[in-house]
Amino acid sequence: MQVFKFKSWLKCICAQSLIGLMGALSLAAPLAHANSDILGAGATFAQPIIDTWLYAFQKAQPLRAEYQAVGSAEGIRRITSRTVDFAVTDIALTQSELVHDDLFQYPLVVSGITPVVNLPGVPSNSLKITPTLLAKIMMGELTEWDDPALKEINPTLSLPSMPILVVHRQEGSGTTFTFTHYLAQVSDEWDKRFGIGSQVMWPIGMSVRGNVGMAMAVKATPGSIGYIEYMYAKQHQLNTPLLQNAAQQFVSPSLRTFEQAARQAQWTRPSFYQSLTNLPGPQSWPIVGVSYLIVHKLQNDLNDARETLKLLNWIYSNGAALAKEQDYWLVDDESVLTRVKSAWAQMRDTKGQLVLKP
Amino acid sequence: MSRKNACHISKSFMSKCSLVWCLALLFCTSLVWAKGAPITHQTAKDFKNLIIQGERPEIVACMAATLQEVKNIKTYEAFRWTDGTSKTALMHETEMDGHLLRSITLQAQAILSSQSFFDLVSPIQVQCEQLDEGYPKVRITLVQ
Repeated sequence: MQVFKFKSWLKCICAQSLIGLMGALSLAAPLAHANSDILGAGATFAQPIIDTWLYAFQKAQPLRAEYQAVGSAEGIRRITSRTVDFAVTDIALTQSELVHDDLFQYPLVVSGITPVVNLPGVPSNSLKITPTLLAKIMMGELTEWDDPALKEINPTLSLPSMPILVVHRQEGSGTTFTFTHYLAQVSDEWDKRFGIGSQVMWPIGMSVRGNVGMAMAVKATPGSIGYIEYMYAKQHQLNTPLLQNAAQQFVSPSLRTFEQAARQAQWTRPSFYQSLTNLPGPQSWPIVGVSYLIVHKLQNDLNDARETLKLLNWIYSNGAALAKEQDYWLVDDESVLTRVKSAWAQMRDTKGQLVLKP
Repeated sequence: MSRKNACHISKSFMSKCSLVWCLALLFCTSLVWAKGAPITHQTAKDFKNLIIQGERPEIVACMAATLQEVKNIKTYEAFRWTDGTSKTALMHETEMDGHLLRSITLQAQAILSSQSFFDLVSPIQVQCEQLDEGYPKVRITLVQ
């Protein structure tokens, strides 16, 4: 449909005023390194383990480090605008995008994303859900917990007669990206109508911010179902169902089942981008997410860059055991490490000096 | 307010009001007309700025490639994203024989080149195909 409007130059005067106002407001934007030597931002998915690492790192090193869990999309925004030293994202940028802004990305940790439910009278790890039924629930096509399709695969459970309330994320979220990636793989209808994205046009449900917001909303709402990073489900003692995987087995979320999927990763692409959803293997958890770390190849400040690499290197040396304690898996494959350290060795500042001393 | 009425009112005021009043009236009128077709005031044109202004990261490469492509289309006087572009973007991904194909569909608007006093705004559909993380191939079609 075509629409007639006044020529755009008439609006320019107003637009320029707005731009001026926005410029003035942007002066109030927070600056990097306000309180910390090393500042990172991004995914809430990996926040529990990153906080643990930073705490341990600061005990071992005389450096202050801070991670702001503001979501993957916001993390990418901040590293692009150079207000942080590193970003962590579950939405991997492709090589084409990385080249655009001179960024280097590599996989940091892997963990599972799990549906979580609030079903009175149904114990955790007992409700069985197939991928098809999960997609139907998320599309609003299956609306009651005692639907015959759910009863059929859960004959021993007494499913309550109550409506299903879907909870999803409001902001640009890497967890949503991975979860919708999974739904698109297991449901053609989902793929066709909603696709994959850090934000999608959810047909139903209520939206909440962050993994913590998701945990609190599901915990407080009987009959609800959401999706969340596994550590948050554990921390908030949420009810996690058994999910049928690509090998038709019902599996529960755990570090062991996450690892089964993660060990199939090849990490061969230049950007390291790798989908770990719906992978084969009898014990593979079907929704596994990767948190990628992003840094600039060309650094503005040599000292900042050196401190950041000190932290990132410390994570490889000391972080794996701490990660396992929290059901994360540090991606420290030899092939990944070699490429990562080679990229670090090539990082320079704006004067051309190598960040790492040869 | 119809365009005819707006012109009539502005004509009647022209003789009495100052230039400032006229500009104010024109601005208000344009806001009323824009109501039925939301447009974005975001003006970023490249990858970095699109990211900084908060577009969905997974669609930004497609948006940036589209803006490059549009420069070669002479029939468009202007091209712009709508406020719903990011929200309604549809992304699919397939992997076959080790090759990764990402396709993204976006909705936008273009002002068609014309000699008339009014802009001719048409809805546009953008389709990007990104093979193995390469530069996206863009196809732009006018929605009839």
